Amino acid sequence: MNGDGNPARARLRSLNETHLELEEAGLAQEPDPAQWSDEELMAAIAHHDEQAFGALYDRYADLVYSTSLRVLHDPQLAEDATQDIFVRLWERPGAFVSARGRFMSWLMSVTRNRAVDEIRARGRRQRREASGLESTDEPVGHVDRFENDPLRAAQAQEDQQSVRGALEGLPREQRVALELAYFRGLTQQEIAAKLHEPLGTVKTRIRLGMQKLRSSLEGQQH
Amino acid sequence: MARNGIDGHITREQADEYAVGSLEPEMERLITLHAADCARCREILFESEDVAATIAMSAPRHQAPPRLKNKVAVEAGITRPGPMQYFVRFGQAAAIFAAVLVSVAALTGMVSMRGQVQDLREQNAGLQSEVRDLSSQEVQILDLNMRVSEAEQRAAEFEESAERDRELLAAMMNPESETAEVVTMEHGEGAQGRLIWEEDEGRLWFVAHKLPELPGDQAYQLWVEDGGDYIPLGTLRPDDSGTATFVRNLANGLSGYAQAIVTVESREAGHAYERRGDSVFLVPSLPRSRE
Ligand SMILES: [Zn+2]
Repeated sequence: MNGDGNPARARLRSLNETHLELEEAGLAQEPDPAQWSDEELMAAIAHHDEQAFGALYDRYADLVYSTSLRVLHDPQLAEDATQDIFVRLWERPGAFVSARGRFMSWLMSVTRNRAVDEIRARGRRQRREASGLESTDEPVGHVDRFENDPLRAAQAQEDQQSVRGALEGLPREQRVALELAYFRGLTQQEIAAKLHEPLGTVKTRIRLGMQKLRSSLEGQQH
Repeated sequence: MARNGIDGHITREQADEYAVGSLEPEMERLITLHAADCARCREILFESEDVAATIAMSAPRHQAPPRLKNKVAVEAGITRPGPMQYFVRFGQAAAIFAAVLVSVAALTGMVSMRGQVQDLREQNAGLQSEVRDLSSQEVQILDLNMRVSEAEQRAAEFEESAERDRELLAAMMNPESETAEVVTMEHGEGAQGRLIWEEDEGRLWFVAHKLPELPGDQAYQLWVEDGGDYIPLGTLRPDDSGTATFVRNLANGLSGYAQAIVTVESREAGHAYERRGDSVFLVPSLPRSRE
């Protein structure tokens, strides 16, 4: 049974042209999957490469977990969401291959949508009501997670302080509008109602906020 | 197109609103539909998703619970994930944290396997004294972390394997489960295999005993066959006694496949996805899912 005669291989190849190139380029040259690009890892995962999956998990588990926690405010739900996302990634890597785009952006979008779907499923009424906008800044619950483990709590706090979010540079009202949409799953109309602002104002804030994020992102790349 | 609420192609603003999730559901659906057919607009959406991803990045960073990796592996049907090799965080506090983890790992292991517990305890003692002697040399801390991480992983594995055995037993006792006859081929001489299809959980189990030990660059690979195509399901990882328990969720069941086969494949940089190797087990007919 050689490579050319194996229809399964042909089918797997058709999953992703990128991988074909990788194979020809000799993927084996870099044996440590931790050094592979996201796209290389995904191509290997499409071939059930467990090491590649492990490396991808190590690379993104904290980010997926943190984003889920930010939306769900519940360590257990965030853990379930993270598990769900990675298991789906392993079982259906083709979902990314067909979508293309940048892997990390795709993963964040999947994570955000998975978490927001969860809060929507729980019903808008049950959603944690913000007592003020301040509460959008901090997830609750993480304190509980570490309460029996002061070392870990200290470490988490250290990590948190070292994060310099891209949102920091935005005017507060733009940041709040983006956060309410992205982390709370609110639509523009819901944001407008919540903030007692006209819809047009909310749309403008989101538009300006995204423009600023875009230019700071471009600034980083050049 | 204007009647749909999208005037021609998707605008940058609409793409941004889509990416942050602020659109009304109806508009969101229209954009999704349009982008499915329009490569140009997909590109615009991808670019907006790149920008929106920076919002996600701004969320305070928390460490995913260490046990989660193992849970994911088990849930994904990867029975034994490799040790966590990519432990990236280290610092002064981590060394002390490491010793704490080892104590926890030792406790967890105690419930499962005495031998390994002894092992962990020795490591723990070693680590404790190292922690005392430790200066701020990062290399030592990294090494310590790696060892602790592996120890912790092992403890989690003991627990998972005990859990898996319980689940396997439940699967075998389940009246909804079906067991398939497994034929041992030439290269599996002396070994025994059993395939169990757990209908209500949608899970495929493959248990093997007395598997001959393989050189490190080879692995037992399980495949299902569909009209001459061999689809890899994963590898069997025998323990020291040659026993391997493989489990994998198959949402669509086994209906599409004619037979299953286990072969010995060489690991080419971790890739074993092309059936070339000698047969160890053959399952000539698979249990059917009841639709
Ligand atoms: Zn278009």
